[in-house]
Amino acid sequence: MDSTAANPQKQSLTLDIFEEHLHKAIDKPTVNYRMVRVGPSRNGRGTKLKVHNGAHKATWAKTTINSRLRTINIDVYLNFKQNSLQQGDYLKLKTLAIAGIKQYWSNTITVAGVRFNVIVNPLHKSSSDAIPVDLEIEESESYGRSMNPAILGIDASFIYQRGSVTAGIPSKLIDDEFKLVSAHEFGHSILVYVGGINLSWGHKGSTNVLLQNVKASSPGYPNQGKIDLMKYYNDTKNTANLKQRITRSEAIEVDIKRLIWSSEVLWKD
Amino acid sequence: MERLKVLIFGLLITFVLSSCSSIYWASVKNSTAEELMVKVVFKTEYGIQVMGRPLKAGEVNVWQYEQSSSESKIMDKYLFSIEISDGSGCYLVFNKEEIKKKVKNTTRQIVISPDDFQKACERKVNLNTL
Repeated sequence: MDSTAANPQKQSLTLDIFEEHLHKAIDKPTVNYRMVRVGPSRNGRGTKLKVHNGAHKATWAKTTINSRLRTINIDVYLNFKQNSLQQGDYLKLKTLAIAGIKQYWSNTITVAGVRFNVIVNPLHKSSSDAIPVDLEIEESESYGRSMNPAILGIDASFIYQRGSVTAGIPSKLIDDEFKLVSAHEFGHSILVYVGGINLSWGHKGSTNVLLQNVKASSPGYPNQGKIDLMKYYNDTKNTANLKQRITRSEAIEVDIKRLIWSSEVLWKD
Repeated sequence: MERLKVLIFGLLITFVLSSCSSIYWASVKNSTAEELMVKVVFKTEYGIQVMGRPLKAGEVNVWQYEQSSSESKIMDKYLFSIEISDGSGCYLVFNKEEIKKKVKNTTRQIVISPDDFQKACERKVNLNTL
């Protein structure tokens, strides 16, 4: 049986239909503006304003959707800054960060009943329209906390825990953790863009926005299956080791849709 | 006004105290020549959590925890014990005190040495001959 016969939308998928379903999936208006009532005015009826919803305006992401091949390629631009790093270290960290973002953010999504294969391609771009990232190395055994406030042009910092080797942590695990952390920190740019500080700093409701500590109400790590890359889990309820977090974490479908919503979209029939 | 000052002061204190927490990595390393089943047991207000997995010779199991900076010298406060067994039935438990001794000279790494296991297996032999 022709698989498209079961779902007529597969044959007739247009950018408009794609957009409508994408916006609904992430709880955004389905047109490029929404009407907001402000007031009340003097006659008591209030005034309506067109408020642009900001979709597809992020300068650091460009999406190409091929509806025939059912592929979505998303180029994301990051400005990896070398600062005081040695050239060799800089190249290594940049390569790992790019690999991590690609690995954790590429996945499959379903829009309007059509399954798409999404490939995220992180690219270095040294200009102000890319996400600014300071690549850093923690040389001591202490854990250096990475961050990406994604506001006011503050650079993100992706920290590689090189000093942990002396505490007996294998280099491979340190590399893999850096890939995971880079992917997570990159995700903050998406969450801030789509849902503001509440969604991003609050890790989708799992932490307190300012204090960043895990809420008591947050669940523990799931025993099996995927771990949401952008959430914090309450490890006093159920813990996971680093290897499990590395192998089971992934950007979940709604966050990949948020990335597409943020980016400029090119549609190919 | 005075109430507002107290509230802001309270919020500041809370913010400072909680932002003083740090992330740490703790690990268990199998330094014996054989594969071991290693169960890391945590005791929290929600009960007992067990992180169990086989560790090959030389392999390390790492977990991350967050603790206030004032407790920076203390190994993961929720770590309760480590239970280790091998294929031949030798069984060994490190309790909190033994873990404390183990991490005295290593930074948050508990190394399971061949000596540890030899003792455990000797005990097993002794029990079997009773």
